[in-house]
Amino acid sequence: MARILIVDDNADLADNLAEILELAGHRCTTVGSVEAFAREWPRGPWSAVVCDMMLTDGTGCDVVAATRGSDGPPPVVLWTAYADDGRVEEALAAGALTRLRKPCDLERVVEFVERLCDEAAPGAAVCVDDPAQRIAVVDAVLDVTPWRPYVGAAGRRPLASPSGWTTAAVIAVAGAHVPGDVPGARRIELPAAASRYLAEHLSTAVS
Amino acid sequence: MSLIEDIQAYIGFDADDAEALAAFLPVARPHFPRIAAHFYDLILEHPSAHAAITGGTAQVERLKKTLVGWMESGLAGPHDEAYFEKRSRIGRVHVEIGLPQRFMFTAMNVIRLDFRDLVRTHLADAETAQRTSDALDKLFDMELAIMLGAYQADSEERLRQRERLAVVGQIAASIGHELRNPLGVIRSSSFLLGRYVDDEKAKRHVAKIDHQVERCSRIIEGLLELTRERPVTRSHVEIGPLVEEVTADLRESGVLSADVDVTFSAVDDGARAVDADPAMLRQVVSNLVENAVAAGAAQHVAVTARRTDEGTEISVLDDGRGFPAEVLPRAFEPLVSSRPHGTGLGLALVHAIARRHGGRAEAANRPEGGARVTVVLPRRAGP
Repeated sequence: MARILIVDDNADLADNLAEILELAGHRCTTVGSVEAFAREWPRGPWSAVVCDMMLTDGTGCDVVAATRGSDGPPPVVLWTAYADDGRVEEALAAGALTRLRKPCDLERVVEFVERLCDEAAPGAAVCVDDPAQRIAVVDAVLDVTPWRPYVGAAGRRPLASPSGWTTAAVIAVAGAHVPGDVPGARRIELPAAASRYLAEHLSTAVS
Repeated sequence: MSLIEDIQAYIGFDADDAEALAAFLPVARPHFPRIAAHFYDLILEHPSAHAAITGGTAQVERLKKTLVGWMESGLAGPHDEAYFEKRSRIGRVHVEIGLPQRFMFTAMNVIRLDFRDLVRTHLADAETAQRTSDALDKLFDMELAIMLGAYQADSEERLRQRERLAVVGQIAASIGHELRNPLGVIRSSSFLLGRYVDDEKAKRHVAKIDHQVERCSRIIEGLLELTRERPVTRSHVEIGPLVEEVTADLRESGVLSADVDVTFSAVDDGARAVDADPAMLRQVVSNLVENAVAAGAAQHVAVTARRTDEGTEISVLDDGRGFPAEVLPRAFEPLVSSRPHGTGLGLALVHAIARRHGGRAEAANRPEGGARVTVVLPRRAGP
């Protein structure tokens, strides 16, 4: 069963998102601060984390950093209204999977979480150094493949899929650091082109 | 007292002066082309004055004709409100092209001296010569006063606009976060409500809430985008595929209905692609196409690209109603819209993006009906 941890200091919003995901058959826990997150995190394993950037006692960066301490950590999706792109990039560099914007990307958040919790779907390690490009590649994975994307190259450690996932593909954008390989996984190289071409290339590579 | 009357009263320009000028006109007229040529020769010799003229020989020829017309109407009169309005426009154009104010004095003096010469060589009667000379001096000073007045008013207006933009930016940044969170709650609550209610009427209201929240977020995103000083990252962008992609997106989101067609044509092969920030250019094309159809009357939208001396010119033309006359001069100002549901940010963003590329945007109504908005993206300065 999929368990999702939602970190947002706006309790109404966290509850609503939990309710929406529960309607889809998932189990959710909501917390409103980095401290509360730290208390809840060890009660995992978690299938995915949805996290806001601005929290009362810290930021999404703190949450992402705390998840990376474990082996095979679950993907973290940032869902935020936060305008400071620098801080968001920092969280992406630290290992957050992607960034979605409040309030308009609600359906997209649900779509992402559903995919990440789809136990039948194999994983795909996404190795991209540039945070903005990572968002584009992860979007493309959701749109044109049946895979569950996860961050492949954060922290420059050997590739480790979230626990319980098998990895079907390693997707690397030209120039990215790829820390090793996964036996049995196919390797897909994408050109470092403008993001709009990525979905096209990926869809060709997958089919 | 109107401004033109005030200027005339101060300078002492009266009916006698107007009469003297009108009488001198037939004598002076044959010399206008020569004076205009002399005027522009001096400008072209002067590097920083020359810099204000960007259109090459063809533009200089056009400007000479305009100057001849200026001399004609200046001497012929009447020196009324309409004259004042026409002359004010010259001052505004000088702000537009970034001409330093000192050139208005130095250039006017060239004309003054040429006319003084004309009087000396063509008017034998000393009294008539003196009267004409005085009238000409008053005329040229009046011209300068109007031009500089308009120049100052326009510069101040531009400064106010910049300040307004800065204020809008600060407000947008601070309310952006504050509003997006509550909007997120409204959005997710209406999403849930939509799941729980079966009543058709209730569902309609849920849809309305969704629609309005969507609008609010678009306004916020637009404001934030406008004030964010993102650096321009240029790369080679093919315009045709970009237009197709934007068109497909706009159709999918319902902005563009099936009965409106969007075409792209490059006037020359060199204009098929442009060196620009891909995401920003996409925004430009998307906003311009959306703007073209938003008024509701357009059936055809044509995107064209051509190479000019300056760089690449991308135009979006439609066959809709065109800009209302009162909106046209302010079309690129933020929060100015002719549509009841417009955010007034689309064209402002286009303008901001063009400027971040070192270029500009222009809006006009087409003589055959509809609007044309052109974005000029200059070639990147070479190494």
